[in-house]
Amino acid sequence: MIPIARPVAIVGMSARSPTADDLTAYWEGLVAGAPDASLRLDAAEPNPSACENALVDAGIDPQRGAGVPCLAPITDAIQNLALLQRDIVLAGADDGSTAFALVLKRLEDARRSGDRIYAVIHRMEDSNPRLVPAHTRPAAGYPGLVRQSLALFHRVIPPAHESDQKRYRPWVQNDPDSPRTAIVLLDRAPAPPVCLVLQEFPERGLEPGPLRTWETESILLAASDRGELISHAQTILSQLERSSSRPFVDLAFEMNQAMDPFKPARLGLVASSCADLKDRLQAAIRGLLDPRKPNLRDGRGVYYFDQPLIDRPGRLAFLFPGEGSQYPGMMADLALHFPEVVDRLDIADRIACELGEAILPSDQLFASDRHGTDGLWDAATAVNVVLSVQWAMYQLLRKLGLSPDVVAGHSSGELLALAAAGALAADRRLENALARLGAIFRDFERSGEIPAARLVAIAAGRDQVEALCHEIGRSDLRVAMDNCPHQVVLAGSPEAVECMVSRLARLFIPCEVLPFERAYHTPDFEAVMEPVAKFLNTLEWRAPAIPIFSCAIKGRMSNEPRVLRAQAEAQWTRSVDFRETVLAMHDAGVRVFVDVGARGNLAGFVDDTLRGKPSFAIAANLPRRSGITQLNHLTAALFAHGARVDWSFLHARRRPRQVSSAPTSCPLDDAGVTTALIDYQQTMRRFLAIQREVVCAHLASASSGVEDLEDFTFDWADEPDSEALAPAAERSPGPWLGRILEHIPARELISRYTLDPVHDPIARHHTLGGRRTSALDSNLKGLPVVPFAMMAEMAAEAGAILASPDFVLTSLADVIARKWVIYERDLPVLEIRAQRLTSTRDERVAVRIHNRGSAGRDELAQPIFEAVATFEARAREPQSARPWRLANARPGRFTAHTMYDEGWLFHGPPLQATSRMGMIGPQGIDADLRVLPFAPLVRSGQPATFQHDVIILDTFTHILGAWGLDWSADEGDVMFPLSMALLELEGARPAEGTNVSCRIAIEHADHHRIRARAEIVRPDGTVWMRIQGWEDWRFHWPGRYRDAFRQANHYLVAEPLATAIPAGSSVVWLEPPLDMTRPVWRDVLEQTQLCPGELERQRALGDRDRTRRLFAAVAAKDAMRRVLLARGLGERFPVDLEFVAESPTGTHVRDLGHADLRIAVAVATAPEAAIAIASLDPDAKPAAFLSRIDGGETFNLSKDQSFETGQRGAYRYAWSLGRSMQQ
Amino acid sequence: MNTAPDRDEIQRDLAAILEARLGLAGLGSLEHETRFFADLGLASIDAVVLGEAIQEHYDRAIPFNLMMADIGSRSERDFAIGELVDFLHIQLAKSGER
Repeated sequence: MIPIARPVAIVGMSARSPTADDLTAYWEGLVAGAPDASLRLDAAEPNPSACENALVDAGIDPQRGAGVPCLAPITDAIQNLALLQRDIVLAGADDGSTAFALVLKRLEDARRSGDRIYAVIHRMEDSNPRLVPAHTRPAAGYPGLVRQSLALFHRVIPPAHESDQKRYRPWVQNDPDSPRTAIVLLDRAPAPPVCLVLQEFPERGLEPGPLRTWETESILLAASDRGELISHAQTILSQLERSSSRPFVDLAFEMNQAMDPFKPARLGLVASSCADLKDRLQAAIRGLLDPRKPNLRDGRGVYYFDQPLIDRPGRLAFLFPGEGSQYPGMMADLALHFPEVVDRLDIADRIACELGEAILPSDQLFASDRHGTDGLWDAATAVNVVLSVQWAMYQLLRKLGLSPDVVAGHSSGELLALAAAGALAADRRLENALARLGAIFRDFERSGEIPAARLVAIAAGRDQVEALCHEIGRSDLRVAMDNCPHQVVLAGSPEAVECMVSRLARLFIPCEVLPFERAYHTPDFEAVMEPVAKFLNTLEWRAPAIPIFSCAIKGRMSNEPRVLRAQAEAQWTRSVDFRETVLAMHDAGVRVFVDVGARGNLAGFVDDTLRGKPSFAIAANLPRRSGITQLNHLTAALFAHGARVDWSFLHARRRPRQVSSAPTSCPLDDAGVTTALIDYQQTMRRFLAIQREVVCAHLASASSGVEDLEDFTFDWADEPDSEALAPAAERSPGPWLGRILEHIPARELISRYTLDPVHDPIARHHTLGGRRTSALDSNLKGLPVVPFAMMAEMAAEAGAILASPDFVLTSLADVIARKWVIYERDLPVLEIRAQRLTSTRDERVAVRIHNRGSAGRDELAQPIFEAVATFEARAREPQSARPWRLANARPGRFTAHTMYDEGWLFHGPPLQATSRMGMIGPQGIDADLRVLPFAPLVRSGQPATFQHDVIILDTFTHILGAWGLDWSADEGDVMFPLSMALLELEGARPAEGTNVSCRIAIEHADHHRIRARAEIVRPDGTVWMRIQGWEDWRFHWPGRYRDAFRQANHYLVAEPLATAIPAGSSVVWLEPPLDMTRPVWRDVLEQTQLCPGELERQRALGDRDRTRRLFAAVAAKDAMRRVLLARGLGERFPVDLEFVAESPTGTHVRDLGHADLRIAVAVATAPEAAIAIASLDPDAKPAAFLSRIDGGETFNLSKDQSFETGQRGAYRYAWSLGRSMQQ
Repeated sequence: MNTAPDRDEIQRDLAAILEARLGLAGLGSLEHETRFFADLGLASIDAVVLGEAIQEHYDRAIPFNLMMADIGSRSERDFAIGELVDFLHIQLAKSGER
């Protein structure tokens, strides 16, 4: 065995073979089954192109690599790294037409640098490795090394061309503690061959997917109406006619990016190429021009609906099928592209391992040529495979932005419906539940206890089938499933089923005997229900967040957990009445059904059941269509039906290349872009002129009193001058709508609000990082950010403009916050886009808020905030509050005063509505809040009226934050609001000064998330606000960061290092959490640690330098503060100190409050860490001291011209000093 | 004596039935090689509904169970529109001869 002292990371690669020009083409060839190139290992020759390509792949500028050697044999390269002779090496070989190069770094370095790591070389062994997984036979030479590295990275096993295995398969690993491992044979003849042992690098981000090109793309077009949609499609078609050589994936991306999701007329297309898209567009245009066709759905990829069915909440249902929806190879193609699927397959294998299954699900699914397919129908495997795979599909759908309003499960699929609705835990506990359920069924099967019955699916309706049973005299045949008017499943003895099958054949009625013989959903199953009932009793049942429909009761399940559990139990012995359940869901308002399973049977059943009624059903996956193509069909179809689809998820891992930044241009060649842009601008000018007339007419008729209508402009590129053009007071819904740019009454609205940190009072009262950051300037505070409640109010105000006059806000639903928004000095602009979702009968408005950057010049990107606001003619009648009692409660550690005064929260007085802290327990917290005036939060001259009580909603988060601070351990107590499923308002706002009760129930808390619901209750016991499905994200940092944010003068974040240093000196080590290297927490750290001059200089730096400089300053200041503290010279706020590098008098920190106090410092930094030494001794030379520790090199930041040198130095310090600390 | 429809006529009938009964709208012309499941994205139950609609349209019983059994035995459990047209042409001709 050849030891490798340090694991080596492969951070870049290049490949060229006779059939592939680059790494991407090489990998695509491998996945498609092309043979590897053959190349012996030691044929190392320099090849600039291969080296450069590999360096570029590693994110390294080849020009910087002047000192990097050309290709070296891999063994030499590894030894060079291990012996610290080099930090980056290139290994590989070139024999002319074939070349492979790999960029290698020590794993520790690669990890620190945040490199993309293909695989990790852990060791070299003799040529007889013992731990080779059966399906990953050793590959040889550089082709093998590249192949296996890519396979580990993408978790896909390409087909072995010399075997009979024709298809790639997901690389599934059942042991979470044992990473995927591959062996590469190093043929070093005449020396004995050795093997490299490669492992996957488990820490993953959003790495590029394995294949950039998909077989089909979904293309989404939107317009104001059908006529405009036709014009839009014709424009694109004419551009495509002029052809484009650009990759289709990029065209699709740009077209989707140009799509305005607020336009109601929607066309969804699925196409495989430019030519195919032309066909689709021609078909769509033909159909759209035909007024007799209200809908287009040709099955091949054209979707348009005059009356989209997802026009209000409550329309979309997810259906989860049960056993029988599995098939060999299912989801393999999706696993190739979505790591979420491989993750679930890993879990399915792990569950099977725990059950002691001889053949794992992944083998059953993807190696059925070796094992046959029968195993897929074993009870334990079926439950495990079906539910695991479906849960993976559910994850994908959620990432596509789809959230069901209603769920239902068919047979065992009900378990997932319960989990999706929140009635059962959807985390590790669900996995364990699946394992236990599988174990129960395995035991049934092994013991022979499971009641046997033959099942036959008959293509006929229930009445006809029951009549046939009577006709043949087989009353022992029972209907186990009534799926739809054309399918019923009968259960009975083999003889009885045989008799029925004969009768059906004579009537030409198709039927199919199902491949499992278990008497589910018949009274016979009662005999073995005890273990199932016990299993259900062990689960933790909760009230579901959304309605669940049951096929056993043909209606909605109870919200009461105890009843819910009983209903779930009963379904195992009752027939599955899917047909009537679907009818009940339709009666309840559901119109669109998504079959989350792999076969799409349920979608077919729904179509059959609801034929002739307004409805639409689609499968997420089909056995006879590729997973990607069906996902594209689903995306296109649901988009056309009005769903909010996050199509960007489909492109997230495919590195789309954008040529034009014009948001609405047709993404073709340059000439095409120009033409399309000119066309667009002319169209928009005409459109906007009409808009202006409409708005003027509307506002005039509403006696708006807007004086500046003549100056009203729709030119979005114009810098908004102020919010002076906000609607007049009587139509003004509040102070935060901003300037209206576009308004189609009762339909659409676009407005812009400029965030002004000076003139917006709320900016001074919502400051992340604390209220007091300086002893010298009391105006200095933490980082001003926009509160969640403020954006909710913006959404409500936009909605109010589109709702009927005099209607009042009654709820905000589906509220999602994606990012903090900072009150930057350069006046960022928030763009508020609102759209009425339905006809005049319905008063719901969907609102999205986009950050358009300084002066509104940024491109329209993903919204930072979304909500649906509902308005009704009158306020809802207040209901009584739920009974409230906190189990195991105690008084909290905070009072209303200390919570704010000690800086645990960062809100200014106008937002400090907590009047009394109450009790706290593991399941919740309560407090009293006082209704406060709005005026201190709004700009002078703006109306001090809100659609909802922003202060109370914000203060609810204070109380929830107090629960986190009080009940969490030292970490995880800093929280960020993510979403709110529903805020309901009942009755009028209580008078100012009223004390109301805030009662928060914690529904779920895990490492990263907290979910809660709450009621704000009036003194008379009625509910004023009801909050459901509130979710917070938890940040896990050492407690000193939280404390430094609340009392920056008292707490230090850098840690002292125990090392021998001169008297009057200190050495500190700073390694902030990763969050501090990114927005927004880096901004907070800057705001609370840097003086105004430093902040100014920070803005001129690039991203990486900005972090390094910040960490250098923080470390230097902390080192100085420790020296001052040790000498009894008092505390300092870091903001009152200034770190001065590159000074003629040497690097130092100076005290802005005492001009003569300066301390010499030396600092070394790495991307995520810094080390600093400070000394009071005026003659001290800290840099020289640091260099002594390190053995000869200096790392003073001002002298350090080499990033690599600084990085290496800092970590060498850390390593040596860390060791000394441990000792 | 009944006259059996020719293949083109059957194909036109099929397009109309798919639109009317299976909700496919804007199909335009159907191609022979269009596959029922893979290309049109239809489900197994749709094949049953299609069979029933075809029988209603031609007002005669057609042994679709035989065709379904044949499809069930294939590795790619799918069929092209052209196959269905051929099958119907034969079956309708047989019944026309009776």
